[in-house]
Amino acid sequence: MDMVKPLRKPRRSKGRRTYRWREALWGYLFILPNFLLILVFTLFPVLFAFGVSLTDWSLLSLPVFVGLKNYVNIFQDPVAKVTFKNTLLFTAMSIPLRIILPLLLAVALNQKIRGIAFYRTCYYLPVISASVAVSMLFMWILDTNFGLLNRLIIAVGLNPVGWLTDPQYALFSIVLVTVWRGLGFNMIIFLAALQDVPEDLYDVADIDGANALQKFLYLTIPLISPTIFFLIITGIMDSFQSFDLVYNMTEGGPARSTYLIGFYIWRQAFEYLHMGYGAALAYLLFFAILLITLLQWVFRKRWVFGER
Amino acid sequence: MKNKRLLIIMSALMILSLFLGACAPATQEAVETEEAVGEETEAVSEETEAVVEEETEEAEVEQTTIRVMSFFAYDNPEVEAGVVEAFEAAYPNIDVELEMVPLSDIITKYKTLVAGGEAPDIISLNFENTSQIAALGALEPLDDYIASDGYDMSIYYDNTVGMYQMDGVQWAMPATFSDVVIFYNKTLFDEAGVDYPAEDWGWDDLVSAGEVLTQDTDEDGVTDIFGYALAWWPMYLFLNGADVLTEDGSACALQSPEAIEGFNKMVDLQSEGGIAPSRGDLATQGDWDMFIAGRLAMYPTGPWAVQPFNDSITDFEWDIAHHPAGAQKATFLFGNAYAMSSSSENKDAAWEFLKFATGPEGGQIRQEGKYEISTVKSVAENEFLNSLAGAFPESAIVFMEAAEYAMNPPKTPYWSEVHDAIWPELELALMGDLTVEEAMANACTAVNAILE
Repeated sequence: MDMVKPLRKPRRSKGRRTYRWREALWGYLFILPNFLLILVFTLFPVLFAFGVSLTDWSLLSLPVFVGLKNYVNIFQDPVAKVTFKNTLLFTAMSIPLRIILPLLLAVALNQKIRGIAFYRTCYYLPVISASVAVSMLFMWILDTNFGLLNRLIIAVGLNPVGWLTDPQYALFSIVLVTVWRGLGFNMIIFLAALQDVPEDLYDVADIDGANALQKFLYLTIPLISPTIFFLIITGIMDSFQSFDLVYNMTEGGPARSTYLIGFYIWRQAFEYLHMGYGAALAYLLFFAILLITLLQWVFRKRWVFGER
Repeated sequence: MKNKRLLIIMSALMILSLFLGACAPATQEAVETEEAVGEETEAVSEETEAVVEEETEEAEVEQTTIRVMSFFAYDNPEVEAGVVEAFEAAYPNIDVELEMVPLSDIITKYKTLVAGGEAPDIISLNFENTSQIAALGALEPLDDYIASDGYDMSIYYDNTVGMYQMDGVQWAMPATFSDVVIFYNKTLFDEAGVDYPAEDWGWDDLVSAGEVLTQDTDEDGVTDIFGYALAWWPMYLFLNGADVLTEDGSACALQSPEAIEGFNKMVDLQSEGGIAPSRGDLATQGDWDMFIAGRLAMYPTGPWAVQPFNDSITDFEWDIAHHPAGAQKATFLFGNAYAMSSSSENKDAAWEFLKFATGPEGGQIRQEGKYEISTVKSVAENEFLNSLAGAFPESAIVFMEAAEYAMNPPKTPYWSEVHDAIWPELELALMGDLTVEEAMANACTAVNAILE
């Protein structure tokens, strides 16, 4: 009883302030469980990892404080250089494909054709498939000796390609699988954006005599540019952190050609037990992503519709 | 007012305690409750406890439970379960909780358990992992147990015991081993008129026989039959009397003239006109399948190939022989072992299990289950050889003979790291993108940085 009364009858002036404070307190109380979850499972590990990055720690022994040594070492580590280079190359190859292909697909699936729901479901399936399953599937398709793809290539009279065993092709193969797997997700986002484009604008364009390509380039693209921007930003973050396909399919080989930074962090931390060095690499990666995202944020004004 | 504030604080505390409670180990709670009990009662309970213990000890032998984590014969779990069953029958006062974990996960899982203070009493290791785990201080040195028990280590093949010794300490008991020998296609040798590989074969014999055996049967410019296939890269160091690291394991030894020469020989074997398939040749068919298809005359591999080859090869005869020597006789020795956690609270029971599981009794059960080759000489030379009677290879005894001179990769805690630093560079040399000297200069820079 006593507890409810003040809520009903707020006092004036000074009482009002305490009332607000009390109201806020209830609010805080309600978000407390979520806040604690974030605190325990996100914020704490993030700060903890920074602490770890300043130490030499094998997980089983006690950590030894080494200051910025781990960060300095990264710049003298030729393998770290290779993994950063590979990651940039991987991102540069995969991002255009991850934008253009789903966009074309979304345009196609935005038409009024029969069984549209079925097609949309099909293209979305890889997104909800387990990454290990996708990896196994593609290891079988891309296998040098028995792979489906090489069987086809041999059937048309060409020489088989070491998709996952030749350093020239391995990273590209990983790009292909990444693109295939992310196709459905980006497609759905594009589809939603396409359906937001007002029909009457197309009618106006029709009256002006624009053809389909012109409508797409000068109307559709600018209007969905915020979506493209969103997908580029999240796509780059995602590809900088790529790990699972490489872990499952190539383990960074052959000759380090698919050695991505995410996989290197895992290897340093959990295979070689250099927790400190792994954490330092992860922090460097974090700052790299932050920098690239900020740059995109600044340059978005140049091309994203509605941001001028 | 007051009530309400109290309520808020209380509920916040309760939520908080839920989180903390979930994280705290169970034992701590027990300790806390014990502490909460008054001093007087504590003293009393200790007394009674002691009495109870004495009584039970007199009445019956105390029952201990040990936890065993193993990857042995993971695909046929009844094999290791059989070893445990036989052990429990022989030691009725020791219960064994066996947990089977695949090799790919067991080390990560074990490290996590050790870090959490929940390590099993017994852990199965393979050779490659032993130095890392031992260096972390997770393993119990076994020398005192062996000495005070007067346990006869000569029942095992010497080298299989030595491979788990680091700095003069025995860290694990060898359970199974495998070593690499030459599997050769007798029919191809007969057709080419070449003598079968003999024990005294050297490098030149390998190359000259390989040159005759390497053939382009349909004369289309593509080699159809290869004389030999490359072994795992350290083989060419060992054969040439070189090693990956210096003797004390403190520095990279890959730039020594012997190492460079060994790797140059390896590169030459698979270069244009060589006797071994190159990376490009292997793209069409792997060496394992080449041998089965009768396209490969000599193939260095291990006992794990015996069963599959017996199952799938029907149109030619084959046998095994010693790998031809280089500057010295050498091959690989791999193996699996059981070790004891240093944190084990039942070390005596764990030691009994180690002896039983790796000794003749455990070895016999595992051998009957066709899991690798027992490190116990009597088991290997009877059960293993008998199991191959009437099948290939005829000269199965070569597996045992080769174990006498077989070697293992360096026992450094950083082996996986060192390996990952060397192999990609060597791959580039094999592809002709780098010379062996350049590749090893790169590799040594990285290896020395790791060892620092």
